[in-house]
Amino acid sequence: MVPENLIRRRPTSQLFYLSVLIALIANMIPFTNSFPWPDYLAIVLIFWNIYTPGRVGIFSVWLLGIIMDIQSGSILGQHALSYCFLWYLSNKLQRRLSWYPLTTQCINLFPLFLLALIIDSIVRYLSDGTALSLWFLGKPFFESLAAFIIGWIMLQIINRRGGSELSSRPSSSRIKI
Amino acid sequence: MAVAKQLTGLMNLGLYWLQNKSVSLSQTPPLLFKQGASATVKFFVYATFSVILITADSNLGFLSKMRGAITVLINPVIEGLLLPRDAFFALADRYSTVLELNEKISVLEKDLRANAKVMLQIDQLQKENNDLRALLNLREKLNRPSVNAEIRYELPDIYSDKVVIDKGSKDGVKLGNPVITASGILGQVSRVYGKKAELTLISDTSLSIPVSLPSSGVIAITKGRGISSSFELQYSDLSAEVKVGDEVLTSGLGGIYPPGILVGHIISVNPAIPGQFPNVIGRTASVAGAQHQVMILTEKESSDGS
Repeated sequence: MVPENLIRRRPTSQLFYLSVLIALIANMIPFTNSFPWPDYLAIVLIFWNIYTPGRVGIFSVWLLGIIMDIQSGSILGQHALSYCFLWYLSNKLQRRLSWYPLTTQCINLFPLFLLALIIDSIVRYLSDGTALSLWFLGKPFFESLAAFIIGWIMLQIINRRGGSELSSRPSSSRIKI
Repeated sequence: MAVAKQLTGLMNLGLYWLQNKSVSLSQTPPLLFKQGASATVKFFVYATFSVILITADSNLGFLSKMRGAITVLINPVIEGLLLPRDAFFALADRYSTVLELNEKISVLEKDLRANAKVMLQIDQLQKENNDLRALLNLREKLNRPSVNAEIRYELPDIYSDKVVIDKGSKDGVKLGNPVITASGILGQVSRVYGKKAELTLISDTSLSIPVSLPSSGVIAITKGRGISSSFELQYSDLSAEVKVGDEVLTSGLGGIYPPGILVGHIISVNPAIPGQFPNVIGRTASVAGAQHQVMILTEKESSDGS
């Protein structure tokens, strides 16, 4: 049986831009920094990289990382590096991940987020000697949880039914497998 | 339409999937021949680029202008995101009850009466002090000008403890200015933009302040612990008798912070292992929260010619 997330409807480019924009804005909301909030932008980019392989360019991922760096006041290139890393790994794992159901996908994303956090903290420790408290090791967990929720919402939007029946839909939006 | 197409083309920086709008994204196979460099090569190129940027930003200062320019661009978005919160605060202020306000007024009046007496004494002491200083040929203590500001929000960077205030270089704020609140010292200005500035709090691991403990006569340096509103004392005297609850004041040794301002109180002391400094941890007196009022001690235009 083909999993639901492989039976693909058409995600429009508007949906892509809108989701990235919303994730970027959600990342920019200044909450307190003593809680390991998930990085919504990274999650959305990984979702699109897995769902539409080869369409998300590394340059845009890198540029979004730089914007996040400037907004969050961290060292320039810190988010960019971890986003590029996540882009690369999700690119490599894409063929395997896209056959799994969403829950398994998110469990498989956990080590990616953990590795990104480790690289991030090593970079930060080497450049200005700051270290996180152990509590922030929960960040990858919250991120994979958020990846499940965001992925579920995105699939709901992508797979929503347009009309009552398949045949009643306009021909351009008919499912093609 | 053509303009819109051009615009989307511009926005489509690395995402080249808008080229054929009528085909579903997921149903077009990846390009067979026009694939460009492999993912590994791309990743290493961009990772190297990021590492170069990180090195440049943490060691050299020339990227701060670019950061400032992009901050100006991003600022309206962040201010827009803060609008609902500000509206909530404004509403809450508006509908606070008469009872609450009366209580506040009575407290303030009480404070005013108490302060009036102290102010009179201070006035006299100030005059006396100036006369004595003039007699002794000491340089007159500088009355540093200050800028009032409001804390807007906390920076989301999880590695540091910084807040953003609503005054910047246009109001005379300069890099390195100390920042105080009514309850004590808060931190130091670490980045200045046009109408905004970033404060590094005492609890940030990168900030150190020279302090003294009047009750035990110890001179030490604080270092943030990365945990909110707490710091540790470094290089304190081995034989010093530091007790829990001791006041920590600025010593004024560095020349940045004026002496005698409250930094915090000692909350725990672990006695020294032979050959090592004691582990002394303190709690900051002032806490940074949204909409708190702070005061930035700026420098006089030409105080010493330095």
